Amino acid sequence: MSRYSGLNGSLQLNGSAATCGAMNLGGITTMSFDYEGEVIDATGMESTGNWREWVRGRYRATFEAGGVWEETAGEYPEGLTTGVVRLTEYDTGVYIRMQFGSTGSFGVKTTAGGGCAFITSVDYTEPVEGVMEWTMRGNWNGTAPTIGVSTG
Amino acid sequence: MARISGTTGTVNFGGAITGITDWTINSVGDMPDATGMDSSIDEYVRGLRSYTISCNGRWEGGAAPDPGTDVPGAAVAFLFGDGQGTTYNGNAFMTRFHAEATIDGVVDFSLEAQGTGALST
Repeated sequence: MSRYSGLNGSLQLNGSAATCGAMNLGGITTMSFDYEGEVIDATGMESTGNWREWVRGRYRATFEAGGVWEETAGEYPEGLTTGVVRLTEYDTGVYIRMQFGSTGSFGVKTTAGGGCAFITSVDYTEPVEGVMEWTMRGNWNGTAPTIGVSTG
Repeated sequence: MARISGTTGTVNFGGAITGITDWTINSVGDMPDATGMDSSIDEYVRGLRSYTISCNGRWEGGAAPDPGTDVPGAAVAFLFGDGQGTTYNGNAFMTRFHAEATIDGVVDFSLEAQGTGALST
């Protein structure tokens, strides 16, 4: 078994449903993935020992990534083409693949043939004492993410 | 009596998980208010019990939790141990899985789950 440095992570967007990522975003410094679910109280009076019992409810998956802005062609970050981090995909969705460390570490992506993810917000900051940075957030849409030690 | 170092803890959530840095069980009991005008101080009766579990750790390949299977699935059998002979076990629905990587750190994860049915020791 190995533990993994976050140094070698990668984030890819768009491409195709099968490959998920065609564009490798440059300047990434942080990534996170959340899978959250609700449970519904299903306790009955016959509950053994008065312990509550639960059933599965709704689930959702979200992601967040941030990095330093790396300008190319005078307008977009390295590896990005028109609009990827400008909320254009708010309507159409994106295919996404996040690899949290080097190959073999935790990875997550949209599911081939299943669906896409939506970018829901992008923030840009440029403090006078620092560099220009961006943070992007989004969520999977309708189809559970593919999760595993290898995202293919 | 011996005190227990946190370095010997163990976690099994659908399978043994290594790289754990901490685990928590939060067990609570409801106490419905049964106070009446004849009570000289607030009065309660025993109600339902419930618990949640959580752990944090370093992501470690195949010995890590499997949110792809565990999150949307059925309740998962778990066992938390202190490494000194005491274990806590039951079944739980994973309600949150979080993975995070930063350029100056390691790949970390955390999970939270809602226990269903009895918490046993």
